[in-house]
Amino acid sequence: MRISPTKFISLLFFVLSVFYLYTAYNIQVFAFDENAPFNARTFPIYLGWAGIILSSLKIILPEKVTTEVNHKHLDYKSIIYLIIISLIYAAVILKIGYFISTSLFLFVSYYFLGERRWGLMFILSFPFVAAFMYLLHGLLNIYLRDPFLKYIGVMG
Amino acid sequence: MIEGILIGLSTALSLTNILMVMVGCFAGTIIGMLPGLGPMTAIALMIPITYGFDPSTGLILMAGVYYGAVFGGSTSSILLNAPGIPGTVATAFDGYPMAQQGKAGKALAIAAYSSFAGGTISAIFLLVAAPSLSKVSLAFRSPDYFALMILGLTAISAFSSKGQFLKAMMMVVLGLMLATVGQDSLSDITRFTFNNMNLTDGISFVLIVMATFAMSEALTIIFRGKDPNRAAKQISLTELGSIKVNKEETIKMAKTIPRSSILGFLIGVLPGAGATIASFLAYGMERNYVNEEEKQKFGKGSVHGLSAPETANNAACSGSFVPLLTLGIPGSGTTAVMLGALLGFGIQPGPRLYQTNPEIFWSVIMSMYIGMVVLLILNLPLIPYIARILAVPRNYLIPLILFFSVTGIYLMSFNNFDIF
Repeated sequence: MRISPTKFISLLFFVLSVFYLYTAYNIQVFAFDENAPFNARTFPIYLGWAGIILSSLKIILPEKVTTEVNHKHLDYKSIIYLIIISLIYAAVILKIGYFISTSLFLFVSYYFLGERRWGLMFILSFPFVAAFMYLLHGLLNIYLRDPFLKYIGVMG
Repeated sequence: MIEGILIGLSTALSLTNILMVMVGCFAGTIIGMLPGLGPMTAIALMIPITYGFDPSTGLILMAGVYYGAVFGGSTSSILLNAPGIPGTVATAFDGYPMAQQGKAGKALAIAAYSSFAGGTISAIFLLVAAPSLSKVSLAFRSPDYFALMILGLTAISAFSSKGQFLKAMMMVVLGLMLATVGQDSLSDITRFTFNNMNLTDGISFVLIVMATFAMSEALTIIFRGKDPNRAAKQISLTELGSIKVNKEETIKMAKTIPRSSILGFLIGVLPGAGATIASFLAYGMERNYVNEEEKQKFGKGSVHGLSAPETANNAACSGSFVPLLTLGIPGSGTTAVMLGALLGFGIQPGPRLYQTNPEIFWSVIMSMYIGMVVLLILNLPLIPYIARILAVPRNYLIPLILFFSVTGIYLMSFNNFDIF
């Protein structure tokens, strides 16, 4: 049996709503608030039920318009690479600092998206990030935390 | 009102703000021109830069980006038949055939003049309508605010296309679910944090905006990268031709612009409608207004057919500021991003903005006039050069979008958790 992407997402939303509702019922409220008409639990409970009802309707009701997706034209490889690079970038940005992590992220992303002009790749990563940092930190006075540049004495 | 206009003028005419309008219009034109990137993405990318400015300057910059992006979107519509934004789809109906006839320069000039006129006329309407609406909204009490919130949420159903109502409402519920994460504002009880300290303050609106607009846009462009229909549109940019508009064409524009401006503004004011619907409606309305001979030219390079959607989409942009500035309801996705930016500045747009921050209210309105003039002066002579930017390969474009998005989030909190 084939399930359309919309119905599949609705199913995921249904599961999320059930989990949300279960968590909503378990929110600890103050003892004196327990029987109040409106406490910290009330709105989430309504939302949980609304999510369940809406997603159920979406799953049950027939779909009038179905869009055919041609998977042959979708670039899964590049997107997986880019998500992995982005996750690594997010994990290391605070540890190795904004400048190095961002420059490397840009350089590696260009490479994985098929670029091979090394000179241009370099200019649009390291000097570009340095110029952007100067714009934010030097000219606009926006604080950019970078432990590495601080350690080597480039940033105050 | 005169006092307000003077306050707005004094703020908008400061050197920094004029510079910001120019930068915004120029940057917006470039970003909006790139197929797939609209004003929403353009403004989301500007958020990290605006952190260093005061709220008026930040909002003026974003407003400049907004008009610029809408104008830029028409350039790719006319030259490549690849609309940069949905609001310029109708522009391509007659703009692209005109470009194919060797009159690309003329088509771009007509688009520029129409955008200018539509935006300026609409800004006058805004000047008159916004204070009146604000006066009414000053009488708002708690039940009225509650009704307003319900209106805002139900207006989302208007965003959805036919048959997509359930989907839209599911996303409303998801948005509200995300908003309940963190401390309850009434009792301070933490909800849905799962003992994670990073969630105690809730999930930032700017974070959601970056994730749902800028990043998803970038990933979608990669995802559809192999589509041959898109690749076929990467044609070489040949001669643009003259940008001069003759007397006959000027008369045609003069007839189209007033009616399309009014329609565009009214559609823009309605929450959820926006530039796309305005441009299509204006195109349809214009087709019904013109004589039989002109009607036959529609779809083959008609001046009326090009001018009407271009006027209406810019008029709708100014119109969409009415619900944002007076009621705090974003009328479109783009103004929703701007709402997020305003909240980031610690300003609550809504009925009381007119009283609490008049300089912001008026300076944004006054900057619209300056923005329209800047857009015309800056972009018209630069059309042939700006058009070359359409050739930027996605290999560079996508990582740069991700870079700006992550920087925005990083600047906001310096927290790995938010970036994840």
